[in-house]
Amino acid sequence: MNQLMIHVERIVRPVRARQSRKLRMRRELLGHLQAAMEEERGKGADEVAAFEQAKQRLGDPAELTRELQRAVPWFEWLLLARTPDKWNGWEKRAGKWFGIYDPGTIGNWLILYGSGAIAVLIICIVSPRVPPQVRTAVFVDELNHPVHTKVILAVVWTMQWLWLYIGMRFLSAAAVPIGRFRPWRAIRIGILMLATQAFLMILIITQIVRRSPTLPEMAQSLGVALLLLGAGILVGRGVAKLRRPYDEWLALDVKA
Amino acid sequence: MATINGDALRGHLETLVLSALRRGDAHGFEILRRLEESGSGALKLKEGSLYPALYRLEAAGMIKGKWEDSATSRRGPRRRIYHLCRKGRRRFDEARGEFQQFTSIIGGILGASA
Repeated sequence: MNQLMIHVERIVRPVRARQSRKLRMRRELLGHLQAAMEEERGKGADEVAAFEQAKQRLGDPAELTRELQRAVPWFEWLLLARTPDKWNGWEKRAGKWFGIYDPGTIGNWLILYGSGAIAVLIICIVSPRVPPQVRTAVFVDELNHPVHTKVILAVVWTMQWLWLYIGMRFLSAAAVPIGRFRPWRAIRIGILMLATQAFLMILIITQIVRRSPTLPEMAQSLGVALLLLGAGILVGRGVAKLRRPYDEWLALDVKA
Repeated sequence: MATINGDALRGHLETLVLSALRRGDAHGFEILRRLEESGSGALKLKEGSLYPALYRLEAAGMIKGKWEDSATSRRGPRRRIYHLCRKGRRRFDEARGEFQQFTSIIGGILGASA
């Protein structure tokens, strides 16, 4: 059974598709291989010969991987496409420090787009209420210069995006391996995220409004960060739970 | 009888799958068995390529897959049972018409009976 699973995993693992789609591929191919093996045994082949025959009948693994990839909708492939390693190098180092790095848990593009989209939402809904100085500057145009509004929005968006990107990356890593949520890791991540948020807050206020943030402003900002972090942890736990059916597959060593 | 392999079937696999499903709902392995039976053993498919074809057909809304009931007494992983939808039935009729036309024209040119 394990050998069959390893063969299936070699075919399916390189496919860029969402996990539920890949799980379906795995289950169907495994079922097929088992049925083919049974048929070969019925013809009198021994265990090893039946396995080899069933593998051969399935076809060339690399070719099958390509065919399966072609059956995945393009937008799914795009979201889960691998970003260049040089983009992720810092993450690997930071992740190692936290002991949580697991590349490709969630597609890089998904995280890039996802954090961008959430940052836009935050800017539209939450941020105007978070640092009052920024809200004033953006909406009342306290600085009395039309260019400033756009610059401020761009800076705030970039910072929120960065913050979310780091957070999502680390939360995605915290949910593996595999199927268990690690509270201590989440706490370490939480501290990092809150520190980043505090830093961003100070930066925004001191650079844009040119004064130090007050304590209530900091508390307000960190409160929102905590809420986001809580939501992230819930998502992380959900992801860990969802990943359970994939564990036995992901734990397989498929190196030849 | 000479065998027809996967390369020669390229572009026709989806239609063949639809044809097999016209005989009733089936899982992947059963579809393959039906195809081999209908081809009197002359069809030699790379069995794995059946699944991408099934996924494409399902994405196009021509067939619908459903995991079999876990309460079945059979051992091994659950199988996905495919059902031919109305859209798939229509597509099959179209494809069959197109293929008949193709064989009659090419058969005429080659001097073979269609």
